[in-house]
Amino acid sequence: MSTSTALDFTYLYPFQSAVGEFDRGFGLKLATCNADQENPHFFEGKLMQPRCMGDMLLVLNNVVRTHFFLPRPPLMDPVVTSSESMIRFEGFSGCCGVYARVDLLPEAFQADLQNRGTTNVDFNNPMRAALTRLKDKDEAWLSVGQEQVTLSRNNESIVEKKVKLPIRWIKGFSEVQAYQPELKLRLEVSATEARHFIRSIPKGGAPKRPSYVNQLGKALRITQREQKDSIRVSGTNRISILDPLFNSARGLRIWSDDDYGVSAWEVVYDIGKFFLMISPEVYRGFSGEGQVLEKLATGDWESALAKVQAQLTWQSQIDINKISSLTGYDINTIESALAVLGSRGLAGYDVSEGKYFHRILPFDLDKVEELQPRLKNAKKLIEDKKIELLLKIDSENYDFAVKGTDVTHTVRIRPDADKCTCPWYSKYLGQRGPCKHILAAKIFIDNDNCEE
Amino acid sequence: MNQDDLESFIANADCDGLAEAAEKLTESERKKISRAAQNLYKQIEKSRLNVVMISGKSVVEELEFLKKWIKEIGKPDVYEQYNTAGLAVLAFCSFTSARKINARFYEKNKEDTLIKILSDRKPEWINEWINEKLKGEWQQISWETLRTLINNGICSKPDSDDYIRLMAVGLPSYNFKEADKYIPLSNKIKEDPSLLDDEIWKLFKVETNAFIYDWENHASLPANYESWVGCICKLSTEGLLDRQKLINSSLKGLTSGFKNNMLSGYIKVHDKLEPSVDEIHQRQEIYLDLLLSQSSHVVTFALKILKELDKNNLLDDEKFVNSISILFNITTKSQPLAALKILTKILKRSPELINNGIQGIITGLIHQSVDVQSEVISILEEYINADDTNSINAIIMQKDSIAQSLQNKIMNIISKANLSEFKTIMVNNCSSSIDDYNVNYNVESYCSDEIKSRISNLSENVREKFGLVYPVIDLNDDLFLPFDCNINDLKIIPSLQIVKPIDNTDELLETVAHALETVDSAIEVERIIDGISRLCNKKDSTFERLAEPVFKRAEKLGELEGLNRLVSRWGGSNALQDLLSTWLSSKRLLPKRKFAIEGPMRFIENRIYDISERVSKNISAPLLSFPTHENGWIDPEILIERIIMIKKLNINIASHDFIQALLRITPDNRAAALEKSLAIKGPEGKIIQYALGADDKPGWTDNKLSSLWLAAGRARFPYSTLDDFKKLKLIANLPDTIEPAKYSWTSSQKEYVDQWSKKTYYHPDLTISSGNFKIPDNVSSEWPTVLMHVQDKIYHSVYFTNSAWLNQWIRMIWPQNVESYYAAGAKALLSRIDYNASSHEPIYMFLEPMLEKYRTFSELSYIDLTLALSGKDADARGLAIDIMAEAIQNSRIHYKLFGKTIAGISKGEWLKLNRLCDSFTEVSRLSPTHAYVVCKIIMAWLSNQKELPRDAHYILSLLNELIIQLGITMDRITCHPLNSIKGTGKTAKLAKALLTNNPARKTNDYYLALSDLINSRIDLAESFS
Repeated sequence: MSTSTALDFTYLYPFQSAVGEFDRGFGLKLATCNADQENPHFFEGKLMQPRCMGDMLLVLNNVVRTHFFLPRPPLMDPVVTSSESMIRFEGFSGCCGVYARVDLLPEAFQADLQNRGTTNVDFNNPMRAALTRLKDKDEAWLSVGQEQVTLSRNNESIVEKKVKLPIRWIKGFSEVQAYQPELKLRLEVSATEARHFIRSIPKGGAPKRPSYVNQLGKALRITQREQKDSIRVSGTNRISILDPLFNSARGLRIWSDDDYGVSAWEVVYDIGKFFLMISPEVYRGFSGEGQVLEKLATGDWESALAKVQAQLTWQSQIDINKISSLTGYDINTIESALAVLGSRGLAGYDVSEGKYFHRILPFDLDKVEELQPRLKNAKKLIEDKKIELLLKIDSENYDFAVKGTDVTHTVRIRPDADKCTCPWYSKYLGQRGPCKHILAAKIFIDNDNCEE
Repeated sequence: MNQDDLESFIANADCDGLAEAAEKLTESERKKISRAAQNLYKQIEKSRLNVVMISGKSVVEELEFLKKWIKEIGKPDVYEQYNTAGLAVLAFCSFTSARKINARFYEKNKEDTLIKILSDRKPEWINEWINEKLKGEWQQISWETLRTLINNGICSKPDSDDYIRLMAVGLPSYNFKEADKYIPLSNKIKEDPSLLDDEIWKLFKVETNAFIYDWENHASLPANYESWVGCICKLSTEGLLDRQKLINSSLKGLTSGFKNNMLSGYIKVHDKLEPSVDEIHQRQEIYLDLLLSQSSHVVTFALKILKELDKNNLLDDEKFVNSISILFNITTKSQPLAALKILTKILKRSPELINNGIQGIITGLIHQSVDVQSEVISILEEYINADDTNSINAIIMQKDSIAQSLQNKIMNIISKANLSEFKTIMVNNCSSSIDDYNVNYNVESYCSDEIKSRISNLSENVREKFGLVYPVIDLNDDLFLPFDCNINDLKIIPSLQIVKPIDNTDELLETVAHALETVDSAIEVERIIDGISRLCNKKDSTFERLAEPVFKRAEKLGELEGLNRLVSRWGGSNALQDLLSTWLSSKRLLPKRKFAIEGPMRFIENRIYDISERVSKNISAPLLSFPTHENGWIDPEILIERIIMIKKLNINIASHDFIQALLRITPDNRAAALEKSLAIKGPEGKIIQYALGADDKPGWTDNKLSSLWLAAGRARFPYSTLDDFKKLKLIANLPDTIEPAKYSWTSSQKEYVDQWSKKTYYHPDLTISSGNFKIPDNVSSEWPTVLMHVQDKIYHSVYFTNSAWLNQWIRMIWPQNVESYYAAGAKALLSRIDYNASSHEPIYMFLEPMLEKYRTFSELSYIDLTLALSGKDADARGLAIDIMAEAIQNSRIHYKLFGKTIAGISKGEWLKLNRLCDSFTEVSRLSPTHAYVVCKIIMAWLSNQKELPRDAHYILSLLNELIIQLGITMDRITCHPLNSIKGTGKTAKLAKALLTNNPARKTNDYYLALSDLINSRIDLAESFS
């Protein structure tokens, strides 16, 4: 992998995460490290249902360690965010098409220490094995980080993992948040039904065509036929990964959006939830989706961005109304600003609560900022004067000619749906965000270039 | 060194001369000649393909200016010249040019020259260039070349995984034919000993295919042949590789998350090292951790080792017991069963672990395998304590997931506990409570007042015809068999979706642009063709601007490969490309090629060429054959309107278009259409009127239009002999001309001897014949019903195409009769029966006609269904399950015929009953009705079997579950093949269980199924009324 598509990143942990006997007793001790090689200490507390949490962390780790498209084992670790009211573990699959999150509610712990922050946490094989042996009757502790850790190169217990973080992985991890506000709850079933369903998914070679999930009575069924209200799923093996979660779960809630074919699978427990979100196709990571491009290209959020960002203080649920009254911006502008912050790794979205939460992905996100090729190309089209207004019908309807490599494309900006004659638009019909020609036209209009 | 020298070296493929001449040159001298080298290389590369096709010898025919340098006519060939030009680029050019040069040569002297050139030049970009050559599936540098360059200090040792991948394939010798020249792998490593310190160990960290293949002791290989596995172990025995480190590395490799065959390779290394019991014992923790692996191979391996430790009394019982629950997440049964065996021994010797053990195995109650559930229940029966409320609570939670045949046992376990305490939990968590077991259901319980009233509203005739003579409903099995309907007697339009034509040129351009990237369905293609046909002369001032990108894209994609696009080099349609070009740019692309295309595509392509011909004259007209409804159907009343309009426009009716239109007319509205058709004069009127049911038959004078008459005849009588057509000159013995195709089939195995291994293999074979005939190569493009029988005899693409939409388009040629499509589908489905779904060879579409509710299932459709249900292709299997689910719901499955067809296929002894059973299980879970029908299909299969296949136990196990679920008994004929089974194997045990099973009464589920089926039957009877 060349350096242009991946960042060299080193996870530097002061010790190896483990399950076992520690000074404080039996428990799970997670080693931390963030982008600037600090090792924060966020959390200390007693686990109320260790088995249940063990199951969730294991599946999260399975997601992070799986490339669902090619046999390339990634080496990325999950990310943990702690605030006063919740601990969230997040991960992203190596193929960039599956996002997973474990939300642990206050009911999951008796916390002694609960600080705010986000960091990477070390997951390793012996710890994974030990997680499977946790039992609810165990008295178990969880610590995220450790007090007064000094990293020293001579320290033999130091864990150093050098990885190449694909840019598209970091980008996807950020952009996945843009889909979540559009998700709607479609189906809800008991854990028993959910388990039956997950186990009915074909083993071995998965279908190459999309499958659809329907509800038949109380039961869920996977079919190859699209029906009214069915949920589209590509790469059914990506949801099979949930199988181990239903032993102690209460039920399964399935979310999907109307337009993009994204679905989310929320396994609900008494102490929290496991959230799994999958991209529209196995070979399409979230990183290529570009759903926020239009927001990034135009709009009023830019002026609001800094003020909104200043209001973020590791809230587990961001109160938009409150920020609106504090900053003076309307709700829509705040939402746009949060969506953009989400795409920059500075906020996540909790679908079941319908609210953003604050966290900062522990990677060098400056590089990600530069990685919107479609947006960059759109700006270049304007710089190179390759866009020409053909017709302004009114303030919402325009026709443009945009010069391509060996052909001139026609872009039509319309309130119901923008259109372009380029292959990208023709293939996806807007499902994967606007093409560079439409983006260029939008920027052109936004810059008041169409005013007479 | 000048350009003339360079041209001479390349023309004569004198690579040694080139290397000599370049040896002493400085970088600035090299730079002077670099442009010439680069240009020569480009020219030779460009003309290479043409040259190979023309002469296969030399580039001089293409590149005349090289001719003067040739010393010996006819030599060298183009490949040598091409390679020499590549070497020149490496000798003189920059990295930008050099990165494009393949450095892999199949002749030793070229490799030596390459090394000499690079060693003399020592380019500063060498490391970057090598990394480029190592990338990709087909690496572009040989191991020998790279190692020579590394060992000579010309380049650094790459640190990429690709370098290790190259070693894995490049280091072993493949000179198997000359055994005396074969050099064992270990010798090669000893000749390059630095590999032992680093590279060899990376085989355990990098995903390669080193350990996948292990052909040692193979008869065709030299006696001293060494695989990577054998070589590693040999080097360990010789003390050149640390044994302990090797064992650890092989185990570490098992946690890598690599592909299964790679993990199996690590297991081979581990096993070949034959670790002692002590060595295993020292690593017990690692083996226990491997139980967590997501690969069932690895878990099997870990269990085998732990069993060995158990045998030697060295197993850590507590850790094993605490790990067991995770094993029930594995979907196969062998691993959980092996673990339960070990557990049984542990619980006997360590009673203090009973509680942990029981908690660990309760999740096993929800395992998919009845055998695993049964084994778990046996342990629970022996060890569970009635006071263990936590465990019994957990068991109750899982009760609904436990097999029917085990329900009594599980109820006994639950009953040991205090019932009053658990009743609430049962009610909240299970579909049936303990009280349910004491309820008697009967017919009356499920014959509601509504059903009674609906039956009494039917006429006496209908009641009798449909066996619904209430209050005494005849409960014989035939009540639930589907009616054999003639498709021409049905009204199908109400159940069909209308196809919306394209409105305007803008929409047409957008639809074409999208289809150029991806075709959503064959109907979309029909919409495009119809749109062009009607709108071809409607081009406003914006047309050129909007059409230009579409046309350029069509031109470009026509040169590229792609399966799911409207046009492509392979897999698309040439005629469609011609049509698009004609419409968008007024340029015809291709001459009409009536016989160049084989099979039904010959008809389709010629139909489109006819339209292009008209479009090229800028004449717009409605398309007769444009479907008015989904799946290609045309409402005959609308067809008549179109014919009248064309006649008014004074446009000739194209024969292919008319034939296609005739073959697509629905059974509905024919009488009304016939009346309207009387306005159509001339032969077309006579033909369409015959298709719609008129009495006028073709006579001698109609021979010129025999193709049109044939289409009309087949539209009217899709499955019968065309007795009225004896006077027409048609080749009578071709299928679906005068006589309908008559299908016969046999299932067998084909013997195949592998030339390399000399092993004999047996391939599944299914011969489907539609009659005794040979279709001539020049059969008319106007006989689509015959062309549908022409299949590719060699390739998987039965209709000479692998595009799903093109196959769907073919089946829309004759919607009334899809039997030939099913026959082609059987061939395609069988060819991929053991392969996972592939986007390049889709086969699911051959099942799609069965989704149409008005269509009766034929024997051929049951063949396709069985093949799909028992195949590995998840797309086809998933769709087959959907078809069964829907067809059972609307009473279309004839379980007797289905069971008989499966028995016929079983005769070939290749049908995978385990896979068929998995599919049936999935269908039977959907509802009691589905369970009932699946049960009856299996019984029908049994009654048609003289003796049972070896893997019959899968199906018998399901049958046993279903019989218990429904409370039904098997009849004498069904029992017959079970009586003859001897022995103590799985099949014998199940046969015995089935023969002795005598349920006291029919169950709740049976009566639910009955009620459902009665309702379906009443629905049918009502629609018939």
